[in-house]
Amino acid sequence: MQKHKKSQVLIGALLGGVPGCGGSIIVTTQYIKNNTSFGALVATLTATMGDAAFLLIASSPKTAFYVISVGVIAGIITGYIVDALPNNKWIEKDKRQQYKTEDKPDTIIDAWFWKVLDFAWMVLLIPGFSLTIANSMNIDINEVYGFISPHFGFDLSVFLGALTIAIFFARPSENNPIDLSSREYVPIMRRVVAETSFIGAWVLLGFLIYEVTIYVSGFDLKQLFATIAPIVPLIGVLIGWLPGCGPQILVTTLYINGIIPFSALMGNAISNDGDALFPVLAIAPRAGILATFYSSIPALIVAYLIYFVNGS
Amino acid sequence: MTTLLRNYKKEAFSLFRILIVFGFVGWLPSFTPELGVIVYQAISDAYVAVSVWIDADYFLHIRKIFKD
Repeated sequence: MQKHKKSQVLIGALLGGVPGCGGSIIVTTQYIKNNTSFGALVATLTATMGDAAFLLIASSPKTAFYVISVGVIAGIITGYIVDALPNNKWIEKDKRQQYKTEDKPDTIIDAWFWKVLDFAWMVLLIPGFSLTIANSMNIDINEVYGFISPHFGFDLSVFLGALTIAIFFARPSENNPIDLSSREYVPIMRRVVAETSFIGAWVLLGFLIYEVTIYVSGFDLKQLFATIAPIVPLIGVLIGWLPGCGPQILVTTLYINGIIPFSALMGNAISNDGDALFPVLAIAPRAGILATFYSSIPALIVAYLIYFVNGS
Repeated sequence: MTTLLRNYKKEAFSLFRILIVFGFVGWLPSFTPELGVIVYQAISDAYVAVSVWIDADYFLHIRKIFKD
């Protein structure tokens, strides 16, 4: 990126389009080290969909390809426009040079407890895989395990789901998925467990909010969003302002369940910056805030364009 | 020694949180059966929905482990 200054925006947007936050974290780290332009940072954050991309790829690969492609194109255009703007003196006050690469900290990453949990998690892959197959073939999971007991399939999925939430709540701060993808010293298995439990827990939260809201209030969320349809894309864009992948996974879950329209998903996908925003906010907060604001402009344009074309 | 003790403390706390989650999930249906059923259904639906991604992630990483 240092050698090809004119391609920084393009490379940034392409890395931002890589599912997950790893690609974006590479660019944000380079920005913090003063190796890339502000336009490249904006391009990356605009193109980033974060961990929510994995969920969309798994449930609807065609939609995911479309969303990521539009995000990358929006990132490239926005990045070059931002680089063409006069230098912003406000963001130059950020003290980017203070950034230092972190050494392996004295943590409990190698602790036996987590090794046991990793192993248990891996063993449970086998029954978990059968749930996946049953789901993709529209087979009732209780039928798959009917030879053991009539509700065994359901009980198993509840147990695995509860384990996912438990690992999410139990993980020590050193195993935070925000940091894991960029830290080579963390064992691969630990990264998988942390990432899957993180995404799984947020998806579960989405389902719980939906089901429990209907049960407690009698509200039909789909109907509610249909009533306020014109502002739903705006809500999607505003949720994208929240740093981290969790809220974005929630939005994608709502889209997959047919509760919010595609325009809201698209607006959120472009507006959200995933976990990549955290290091920028820590070292160069002004740039982080401004980049978030800039990325919401193409998000609003694309979201409302889709809204007026699709009618939802 | 201090690090070792600190680590055991953290592990115990992690284990405690795991037990709290399982305890809560197990206790909920006896407290409010109707809500318990809804929560269980939501957990089951969500896990099945996300299991495709979880398996894909596993296999990709496991392949890498064997390659390494």
